[in-house]
Amino acid sequence: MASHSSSSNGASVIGRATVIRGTIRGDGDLQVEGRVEGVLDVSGELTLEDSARVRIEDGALSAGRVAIRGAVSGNVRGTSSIVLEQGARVVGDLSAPTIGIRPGGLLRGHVATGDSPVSQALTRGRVERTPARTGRTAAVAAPAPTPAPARGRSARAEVPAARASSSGSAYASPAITQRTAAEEPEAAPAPAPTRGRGSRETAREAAPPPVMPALRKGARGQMKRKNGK
Amino acid sequence: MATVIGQDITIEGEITADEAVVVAGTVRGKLSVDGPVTIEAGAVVEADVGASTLSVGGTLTGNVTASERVDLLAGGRLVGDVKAARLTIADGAVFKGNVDMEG
Amino acid sequence: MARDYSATYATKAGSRSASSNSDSNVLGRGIRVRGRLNGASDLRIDGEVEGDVSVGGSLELGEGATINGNVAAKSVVIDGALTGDVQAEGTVTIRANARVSGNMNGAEISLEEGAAFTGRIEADFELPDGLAAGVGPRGVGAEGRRNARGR
Repeated sequence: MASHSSSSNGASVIGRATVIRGTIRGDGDLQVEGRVEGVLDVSGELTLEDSARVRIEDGALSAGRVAIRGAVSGNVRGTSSIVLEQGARVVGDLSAPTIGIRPGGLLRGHVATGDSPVSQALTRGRVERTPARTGRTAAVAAPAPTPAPARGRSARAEVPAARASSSGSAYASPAITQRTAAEEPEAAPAPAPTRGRGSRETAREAAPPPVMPALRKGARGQMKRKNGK
Repeated sequence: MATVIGQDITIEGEITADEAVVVAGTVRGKLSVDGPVTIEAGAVVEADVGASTLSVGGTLTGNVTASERVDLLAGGRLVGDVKAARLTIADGAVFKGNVDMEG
Repeated sequence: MARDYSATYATKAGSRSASSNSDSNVLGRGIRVRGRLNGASDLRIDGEVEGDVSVGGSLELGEGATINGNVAAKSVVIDGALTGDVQAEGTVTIRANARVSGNMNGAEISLEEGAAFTGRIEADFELPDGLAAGVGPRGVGAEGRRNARGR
């Protein structure tokens, strides 16, 4: 297996009887069957086989595409995607534009899909905070950034649905979904827009909204409702 | 099975293995292998190396201990002390260091 | 412009609209419920729910459907938009079209690629030898997180 041709192809393997403590960086793909402790940062596809044992000690494991069937302690970032396959056991946060968790893939941690810089910043913030706190404190503190964007998003999420049904087409298209997700963090500081649903249909009819740049996103929605009355 | 460190991979730290290790990329630190180690042409290793057998076609800077043998291939370059029962240095290889073959 | 719902149920806590004996309850596409939704059997939601949902059987949130509230069920399949936490005895499946913001608790949580998801997943398992040290405490405190999100 360890032929010269395989290595010059750029196919890298950390075998199952190998332990690496330190930093692994590089371009191209890497397959891990053994144990890695430290930093793991490759630009290509990283495959952690079922025998892999990886402990990330600083920051996040990072790769273009990450496929996990083994055990990971630490945060995982995919610039393209992360997939937890059957057998994966991960304790840490996941962040990637696309994330899949197959049946039998186990996770304890936060998940953030999408590739907006803000959501990645949130994930990084968690990374830095977590070791310094006790588990309970970190756990309670962890969702603090979540509710605000969630509210903003819940209101926004209705816009594509309303559009789709009024035009007779299928419900929210993937493109709209993506955009909604990407805008989510922007809505964070807005006042909670989920109140006052009584006149919401009015807001819906105005669905492709006139842009009022001076207002923040949630505020725009509230204005519309008031004006519609 | 084996570990293969491709030419686009750099490892800084300590590698411990009970299987063959092939280095085509860059390794800095320490390489402790219970098995054969191959340092391919183009590879750069700055590490002390322990292995059963060691084959050097690339550049190795560090001390070597091999339980069986060390082969320095043509084009290979080794700067460091070698402790091994057998040592071959091919025509075209570069070697600087001491050799201890008494084990 | 056509309304996308034909009725609005402003139910208060204790609504039993999903607790009929039929095991195929559907809250249809045009229906909007505001308040707590409790039921003993399976429920499929194609409309909109503003409030917590608790069913004894499986809960399916159809594509285009919305829940703003926490969800408790035996198992949950999400194809629509959910803002809230999920507590399931069994599996939670987030499908590719789903948009979910909330924390997931269940025996098995699966996430299809393409879904938009922000939140925590708390699976109960042990990391193998040597990896577990130093990360164990992060698994506790799920209740605290849920309370922090309460509305």
